[in-house]
Amino acid sequence: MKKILVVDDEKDLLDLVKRILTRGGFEVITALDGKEGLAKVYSEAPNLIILDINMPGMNGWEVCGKIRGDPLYKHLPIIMLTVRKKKEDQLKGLDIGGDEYITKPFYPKELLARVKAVLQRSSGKI
Amino acid sequence: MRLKTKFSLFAGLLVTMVLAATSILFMTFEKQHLIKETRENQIALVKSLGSVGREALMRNYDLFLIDYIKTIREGNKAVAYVLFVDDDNRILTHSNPQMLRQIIKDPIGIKAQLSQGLLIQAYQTVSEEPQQEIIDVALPVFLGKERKGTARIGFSKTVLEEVIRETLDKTQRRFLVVALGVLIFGLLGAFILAATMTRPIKVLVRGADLIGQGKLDTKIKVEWKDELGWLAGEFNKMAEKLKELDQMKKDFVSGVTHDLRSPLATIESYVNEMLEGGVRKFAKTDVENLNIIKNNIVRLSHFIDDLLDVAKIEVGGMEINPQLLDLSSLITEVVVNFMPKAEKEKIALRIELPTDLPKVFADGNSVIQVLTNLISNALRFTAAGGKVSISAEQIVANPDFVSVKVSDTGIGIPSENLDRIFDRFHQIKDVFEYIDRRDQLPEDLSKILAKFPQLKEVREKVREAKGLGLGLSIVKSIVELHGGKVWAESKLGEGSTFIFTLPVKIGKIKNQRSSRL
Repeated sequence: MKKILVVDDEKDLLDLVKRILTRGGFEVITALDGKEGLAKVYSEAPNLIILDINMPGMNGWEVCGKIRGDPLYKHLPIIMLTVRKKKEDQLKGLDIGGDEYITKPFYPKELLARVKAVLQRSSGKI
Repeated sequence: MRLKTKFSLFAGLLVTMVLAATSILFMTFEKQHLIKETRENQIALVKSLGSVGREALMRNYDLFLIDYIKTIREGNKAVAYVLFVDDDNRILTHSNPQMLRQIIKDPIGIKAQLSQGLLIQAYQTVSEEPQQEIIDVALPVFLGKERKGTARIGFSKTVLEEVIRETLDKTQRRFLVVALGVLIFGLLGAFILAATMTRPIKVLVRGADLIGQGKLDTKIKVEWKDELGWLAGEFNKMAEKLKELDQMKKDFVSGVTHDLRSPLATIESYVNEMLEGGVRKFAKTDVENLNIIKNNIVRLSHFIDDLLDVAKIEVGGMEINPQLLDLSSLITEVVVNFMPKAEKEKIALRIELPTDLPKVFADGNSVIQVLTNLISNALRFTAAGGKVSISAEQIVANPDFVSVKVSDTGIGIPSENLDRIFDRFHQIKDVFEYIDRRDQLPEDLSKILAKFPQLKEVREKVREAKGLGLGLSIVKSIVELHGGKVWAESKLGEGSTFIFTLPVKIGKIKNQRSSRL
């Protein structure tokens, strides 16, 4: 079973995503901020990370940058979670090294589909 | 610099006044001094005459006296006469030989004979023409205790005065030359003083001006250790505080942004989850309820997005990142997104783009926002069967700009509102208010009556999509940030056209700094 790490400062949203992904057959680990998220990357070695961008403290960009900068984890698939509006956020997310993006709010089906697609792509690479 | 001029003038005036006062005082004192000196000279002359006379009397040798009198007469042009009288009132020697051996009979002479010491008398000649004023200085000569005679010299007052005047004139002239030199240097000095004193003030003024313009990073150089230096320091502190405040406002807005959007996104995601039936299937009414909840969340989100945009503009935090854009493809993209909605409302959507449209220097997201707002407005205010067209062209009269037009065949805008629609919180309800007060309609609105059935439809659409009235003001802010303009042309009952311009060239686009737009 694939392990997914979800990082978002909104606890309720975190719970929802966890519920959806668990329903989809994944093991889910959560983190409420960037620092915790990074720590869990190293300690849990997930197959995929879903990263919220707007977080206090270390934000999504920074976490993504750190992961990509680490030789051990730079191939880790990352999905950036962005607020609906900004197209540039979405493009920036891909620039920094995110593999995909999902806008909030999302539909559960959409979320699952993206996750599966990204996992498939990356496993194809390896 | 006005202050420098004031300073120079004041200092110059001061120098001039001081100089003038000095001159006047000097001249007055000089005159007094000259007069005094003259008098002293007169007395000294008479005294020496007295001495010589005494000698002559003692040795019984008149020649001394005669020669001496001649010398006096010739050496001093103010002298009218010189004489020596013996104790018998007989004129022993006189500068006028005719007067020799005469007896003193005139009152002045008699008085002089009787005086025991120096006697100065002033009188006017009666016999001579023209009349002269004479100052007679007489000194008795004593041999021991015996009075032996009187030495007298008459000075012409007129000549005396003339001599004084001449001397004074010469002195004056010399003084004036010096004074002029001093004045010139003084004025120069005044000017230099003014310039030096006002230079730091100029620096302060420039600094304050920059800060006032919003360049809060300005640092006024604080070298001077006086009140001006203190002031400069205060200005710098003020700029710091303003910068902090600015940042606080921006942080506040972005904090609020996040705190408002996050929960909404969460709520909507949960509703989506429920609608999808992931956990359990809901009954039909429940699903309807959920949809209503969702719609309202979407509405709320749009409100908040608009409000936050305005707040961002208000605190000067709206920043655009312009690049060279292909406007044609951008417009096409946005319009394509509106196709489904346009189809649903049975409004025709058209694009007219030239093939050679130059690239514009603008921020893609912002332009999309502008187009979206204008097109959705156009669709909202047009009834079924109407048309909305979007076109763009390089402005012939001003090729540095491209103009984009969004036209509709909708209800139009009353001409008096064409400026006001870009105000914040302005909502277009006036037209509908007119209809409700149908009996009070002005005549140009009769055309609207003719479109009455469409009016109802449009009114419904507008009521449904009621917003905060911020969209157009945001459009205006964005366009103006790019250096362009936006305006509307409209005919009530026939339709409206919204036009905005964007620059073609890469230019310096001033991102907002100050908080007032």
